[in-house]
Amino acid sequence: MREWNKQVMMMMAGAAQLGIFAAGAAAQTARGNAVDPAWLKADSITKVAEFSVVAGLTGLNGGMNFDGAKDGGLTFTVPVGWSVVLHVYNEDQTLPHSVEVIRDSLPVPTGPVAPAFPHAETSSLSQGMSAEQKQTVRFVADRAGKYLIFCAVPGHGAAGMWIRLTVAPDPRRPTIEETPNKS
Amino acid sequence: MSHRVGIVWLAATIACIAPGVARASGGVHDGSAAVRAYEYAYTHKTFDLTPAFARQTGLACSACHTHYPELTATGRAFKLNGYVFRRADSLQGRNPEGEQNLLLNLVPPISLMVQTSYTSTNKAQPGTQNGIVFFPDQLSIFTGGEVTPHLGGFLQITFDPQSGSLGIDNADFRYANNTTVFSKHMVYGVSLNNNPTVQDLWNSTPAWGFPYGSSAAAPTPTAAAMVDGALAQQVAGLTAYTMWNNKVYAEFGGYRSAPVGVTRPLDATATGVIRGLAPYWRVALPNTWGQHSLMLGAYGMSAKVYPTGVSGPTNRFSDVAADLAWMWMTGSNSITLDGTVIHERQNWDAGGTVNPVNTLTTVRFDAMYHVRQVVAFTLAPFSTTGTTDSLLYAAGAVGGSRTGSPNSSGLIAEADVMPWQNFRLQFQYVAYSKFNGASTNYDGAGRRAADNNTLYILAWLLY
Repeated sequence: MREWNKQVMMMMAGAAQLGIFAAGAAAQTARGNAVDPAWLKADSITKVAEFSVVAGLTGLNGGMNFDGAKDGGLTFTVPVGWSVVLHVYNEDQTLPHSVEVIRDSLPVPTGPVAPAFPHAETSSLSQGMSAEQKQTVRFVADRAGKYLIFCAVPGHGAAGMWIRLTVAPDPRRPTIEETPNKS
Repeated sequence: MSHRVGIVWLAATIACIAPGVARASGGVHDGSAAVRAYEYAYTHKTFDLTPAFARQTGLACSACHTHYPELTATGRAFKLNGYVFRRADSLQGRNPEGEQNLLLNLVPPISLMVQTSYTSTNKAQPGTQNGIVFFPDQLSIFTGGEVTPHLGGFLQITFDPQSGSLGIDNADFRYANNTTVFSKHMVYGVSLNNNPTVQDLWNSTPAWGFPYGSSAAAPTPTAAAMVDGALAQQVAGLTAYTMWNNKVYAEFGGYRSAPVGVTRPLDATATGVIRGLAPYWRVALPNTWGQHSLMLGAYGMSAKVYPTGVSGPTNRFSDVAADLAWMWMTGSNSITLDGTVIHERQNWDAGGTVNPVNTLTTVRFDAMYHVRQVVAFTLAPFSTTGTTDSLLYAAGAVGGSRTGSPNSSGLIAEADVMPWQNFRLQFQYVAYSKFNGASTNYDGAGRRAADNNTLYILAWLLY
């Protein structure tokens, strides 16, 4: 795990110790070992869900993956009305990447489109973040439905660099889990 | 990409110009000139885009190009990192210790480009047929991509319909790796290439600059700076480069004469041979904000060149250039602006000119609007100005200068239609307001600059 991730984990751990995160809002991790529980922190009091979105975490798909998943192989789920924070980090040493939350529509767009929620995107969607750069995306998931978190750098999303976000109407806690590829 | 393939002809007299050394385009040269110490000729260009890369990366052309050969951020990163990004299956080999020692594409990294064209000038060149058809205009075989995990390359082999021969075109092989410096990501590497600026990441420098396709048959202005294509495929260069934090790019290296199609080792019959090593340098400051990216940069090189042979007095050419590349992505459309200003100081220590020192300044910009990667419109003004020298720029039909001036200016308007990413129809019109020093009777034979206005229709196929 990269230094930045470690820092995030340490910060999150510290925050938890200070009681910022509600004890009962710990992340539900998915089956299998591929999902790291540190990717999700949730506060049920303030209704904030924080996800770590690492581009190029593994060599899968030539590095064109988020948290080691491609083609919808990972799903973040948040209750409707929660605030979502995406800690985006580009660990891919070769290519620039960006993140945008869009409506669930396949085939995945070849480039930037309108985000599903205001501000649900990194800056410079087409140009992307270069290696080892990070950004924080904050938005309110105020509409239930199924969405995609995809790389909007031209061609990347279409090449499989996307995962899923579900905004659930029922008052569940945020979860993160592996999902079968459907593409 | 069309790049101008040029030739430096350095000769004390016209008789010293070695025939067949190069791929000079017709109509540019003035056979009556007593001295042609430095001449440049346009021919067609080649392209840093290849379906072979698409096959290796599994990405469509549009991932790396807005309008090939113009690179996107992904394309620049792919090139910067040594052409090694892959998603395609590979054959891997390991030694007895289990260490990987072979990595080969399962799909052969080969692709083909076929161009055919029609050229018509406002007025036919004396004694020639107007309405020139090339089939092919250019036929190129591309190969390249990842060779080892940090080593990759790009090689183009082109058939020239005018010489009827197949030859090496642009080549760029590079090693790249990355590290962290001052807590920021840094890419570093070396490039072995055969054309100054062919290794560059932006389309504002000569090798990959606009126009991406131009007529090999139409008259073009005589004068051009050394770094502006005159050394293409005539040299071999090794440069070291680094990109820090994706915000500072620096490169330094040197070039040495390595012409193809001539007897080696170079001897007294050679022309335009660089003495020793010609240093090349490049700095660039790229940045992005919102959907914009902007690069401001500078580059240059200096060379001492033997007019003939490999010993004796030399002429010195010192080029310094500034450039910019701006791109604005607006949804599926984009607007790009590329430009460069090249200033050359020529010290004619070996003689053959009226002035011991001449200068040449080229200014070139292009503004392109891409609509959904299907249609593109471009306007590109250009201008070259320099010292008047009646020996260097002598009078002569079509390619000469009555005034001895290298000054030329004009505008290129182009529309491109790309119904498929690997098929392009290009409609280009080049209008000259001044040609080799004048608007009217510029060559001393009554030809007007506007007579060289050129309609060029080009069809590209890449597969």
